Amino acid sequence: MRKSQIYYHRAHRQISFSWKSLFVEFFLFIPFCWSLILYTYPPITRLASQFLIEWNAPLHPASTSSLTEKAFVFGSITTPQMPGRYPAPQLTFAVFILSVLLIFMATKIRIPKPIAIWVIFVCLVNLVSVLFFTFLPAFFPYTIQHFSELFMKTEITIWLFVPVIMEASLLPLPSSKITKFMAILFSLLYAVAFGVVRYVLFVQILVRFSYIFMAVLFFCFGPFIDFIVVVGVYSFYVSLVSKKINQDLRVWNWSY
Amino acid sequence: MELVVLILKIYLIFTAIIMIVYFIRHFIFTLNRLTGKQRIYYQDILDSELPTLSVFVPMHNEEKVASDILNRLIAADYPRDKLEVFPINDHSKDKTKKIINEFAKQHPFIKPLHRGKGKRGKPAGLNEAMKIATGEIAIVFDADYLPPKGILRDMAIAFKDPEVGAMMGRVIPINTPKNMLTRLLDLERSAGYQIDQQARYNLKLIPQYGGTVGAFRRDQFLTFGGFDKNILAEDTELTFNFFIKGWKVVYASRVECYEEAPEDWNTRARQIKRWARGHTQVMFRYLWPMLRSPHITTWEKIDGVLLLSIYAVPFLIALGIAISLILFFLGEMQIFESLFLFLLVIAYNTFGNIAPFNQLGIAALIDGSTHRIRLLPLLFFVFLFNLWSSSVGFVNAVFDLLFKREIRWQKTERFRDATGGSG
Amino acid sequence: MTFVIFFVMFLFLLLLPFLPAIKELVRPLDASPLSINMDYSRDPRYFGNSFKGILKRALRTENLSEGKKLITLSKSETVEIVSKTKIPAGDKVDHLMYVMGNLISLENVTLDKEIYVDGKASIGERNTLRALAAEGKVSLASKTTVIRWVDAEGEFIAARSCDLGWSISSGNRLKIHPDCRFRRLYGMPVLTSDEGLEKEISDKDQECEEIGDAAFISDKDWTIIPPYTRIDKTLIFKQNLRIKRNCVLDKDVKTYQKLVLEEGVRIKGNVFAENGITIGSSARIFGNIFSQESIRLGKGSKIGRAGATKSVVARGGIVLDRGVVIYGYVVAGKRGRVL
Repeated sequence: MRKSQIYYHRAHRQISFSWKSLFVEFFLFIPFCWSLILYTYPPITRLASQFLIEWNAPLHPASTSSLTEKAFVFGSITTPQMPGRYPAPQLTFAVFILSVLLIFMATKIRIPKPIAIWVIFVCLVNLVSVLFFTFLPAFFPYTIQHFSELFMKTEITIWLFVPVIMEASLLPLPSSKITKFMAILFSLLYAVAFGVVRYVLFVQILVRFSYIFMAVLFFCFGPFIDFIVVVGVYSFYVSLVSKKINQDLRVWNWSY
Repeated sequence: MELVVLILKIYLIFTAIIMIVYFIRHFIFTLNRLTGKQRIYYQDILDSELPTLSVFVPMHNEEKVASDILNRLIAADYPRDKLEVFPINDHSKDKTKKIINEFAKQHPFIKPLHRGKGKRGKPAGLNEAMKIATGEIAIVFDADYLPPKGILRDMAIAFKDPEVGAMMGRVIPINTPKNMLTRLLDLERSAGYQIDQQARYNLKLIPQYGGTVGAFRRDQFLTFGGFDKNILAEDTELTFNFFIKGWKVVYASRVECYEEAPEDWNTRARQIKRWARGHTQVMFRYLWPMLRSPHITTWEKIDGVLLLSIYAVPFLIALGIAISLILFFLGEMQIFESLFLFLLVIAYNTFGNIAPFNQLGIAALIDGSTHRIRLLPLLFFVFLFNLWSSSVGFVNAVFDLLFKREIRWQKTERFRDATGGSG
Repeated sequence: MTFVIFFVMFLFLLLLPFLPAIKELVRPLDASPLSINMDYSRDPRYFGNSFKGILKRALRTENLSEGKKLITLSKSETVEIVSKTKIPAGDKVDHLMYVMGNLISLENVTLDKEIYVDGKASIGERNTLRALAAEGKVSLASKTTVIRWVDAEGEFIAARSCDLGWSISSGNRLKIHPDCRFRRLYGMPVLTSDEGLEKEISDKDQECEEIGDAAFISDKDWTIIPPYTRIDKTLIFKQNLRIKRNCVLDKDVKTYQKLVLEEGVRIKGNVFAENGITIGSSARIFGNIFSQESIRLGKGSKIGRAGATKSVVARGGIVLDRGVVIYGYVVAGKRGRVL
């Protein structure tokens, strides 16, 4: 006898939900991920900072560079102390001209508006930085060490958030706990890798090029873009779940 | 200086809390829609004694789409003696008038209203048409919509419930494949209707009448004094008018209709600005009456506040980003401040203009979509665009209030190729 | 060089999450608009009408002759065309049937595919029937199971203890006996067995006194409308509502909680409730009944009137007692049953 189910319209689809699942997933996955981060972030920051100092040794000898350790959540972060670069007037002026030019072109050239607005935003942040370094360079409040501390602390806190956001988003999905956990773990590891690479690269830009780019690096490529990892992994995972469900509609309950 | 810094930091905390509230709200909606108890709509009520309907189709230079919707309404399954259709030709300069007149010649239940004088715009046109209509129930379709055969019955039946003042169906973009914008809008619409509106209906909050694919009691509407011609979001205004007076607005997920989503970014920007401005105008006018209404429950009031304030949030976030930049250069960007920035950004990124990323994902899942869910990361590029457009709309509404400005209606551009003529 | 490596790594990690999106954008696999059936209009006899239309188009029924044919519906199917037929007890039919006359099936028959009958259909005891559309009368003997639907142009009768599947519809009377289970019923009218009931209730109002709101009796959870009272306005309550026996309401009633109508209550309008609705014996409702929970119709209650379609719709279950008459449509979101 063929199937007896008459499948309702998509307006009436629903999923069964288990509060036991909620309990298991939240109180198993998240503490595990948090433990992983809290255990590994101190050596990660130490290794990254040591790498930066060694990388910049030809430029900044050992006497001008050192590591600083500061207490943080259940551990400590290590940051490098070394000279950064203040922008020369020529660089400041060049950045100013380039930013103004890009803003002008973004408004005139036919590019998709979202891209134009992003370009304008990045350039505006640059312009604020330019103004600051033109009129108030002595008041610039950051050193490499300060920036490192700010960036790493932000990243570590974001890494602690990532499993929470992922778990909350994946929780109601009709898929196995193992695959959910793998998706959460993957997004966490990706976030950590992405954060460390950015950190090293940004510090290097500030040491080799100029502090003038610090605002752009932090505001446009810092916490702003961390969510991309979460959404990327989430969307890919859900698309796979959806494909699987569409092959077996028995997963769906019918609200009516 | 310290005081200034403190105020700025408090502002960041305040905005982050607002974002968290919205995040929780949308999470609850998503969970409710996917797994919670669903309230059913009235579409399964079959009743041979249907109310009389007046269907309004505002048209301003709609020659590309006018024939399509009129043909669909001619094919509608509704007793002809209980149906009248008012295409409202609103100061058109193209062939709209000619097209409408051709249809009216062949179908007596189509009664054109040609407007050449008076204030232009959808609210003004509807107000004029409402006065000459005779139907108990008013249904409004935008000109680019394509109503299916049975939709009028499914919309009209809601009014058998004596408490229902208005109802809203679901809008589905027909031009989804066109480009990245239409594809993202398709996901956004899915979330807005499949999750947001349905959850608000389930939880007995405030589902919104959306201005098209919607119906309301005409006589009750006339007691409100019609639409305010200076408010750009006449749909939001109507929703709150009904709730304040003790009526309910219901949502019908099963009642679906195709629409044409904007296909270019400039059109989309204008649309968001109009919605943000209009919605905020309604907030200024109706927030306090809503809070004072004895007919609205506490939970409805809470949802009403969040709904009315929704276009203030992008502006708050934009300001929060600017404040973070100031704090950064003052050297006051400590971990907590940067974290709030992150929360602002991620919450809005996840929150999006209409719905958070997980709401879009779940909506697409329920709809049976698969690969299109992978487009979600592209929302990143739209984040600042939405932020900017909404903020401009919000600020315009503030200036409208402060300087008592007159509104000029701007029509949304159509992209469909014109099709054949009458019936 | 190290800088370049890190920069490339940064770009790679930044762009990687976008790759599936870009791929879907450039070579879309899922870009079509969500499908809407533009010709869809609610039809309580949809299954039967749709099946008959599809089958007749596929068969080109002008000059049919007996025998087996291969046709294409949603896929290739065998259809057996017979002038009339009597299916022996215990038989199993696993192909479509087109019966040009009457159909009789004896007990314990399994009809695994859709059947079209141009005349009357008489289905025996303990049959299992997937779907059937008939131009004449359809009767199901006791303990028959319908897997999907039955549509009869003529009268439909189901004996005791039948499982009526997803949808039973009739262009005429639809009568179901005790212990039947259903989801959707449509008939003019839908009747349950009236064995043992004394008399049919009349459409005429009884004598009662017109009252205002002040006469309602309210406590924390319930509002009670006293018996033999008449109310000439729409009632909307946030509490549970009990309307005592033999009241007359000239308009609609709605409650956010439970609604109980005692025996003999008459309501000229529609009845809505967020919770369950219990309708007492011999109640007379002229409008629709709609509940977000369950509905119970007492003995001899009558819904709607001849010549007009009305509906009884519940998100939950529907229980029909003996002698119930419903002019139109019954929809039970969960299961319905007949006492």
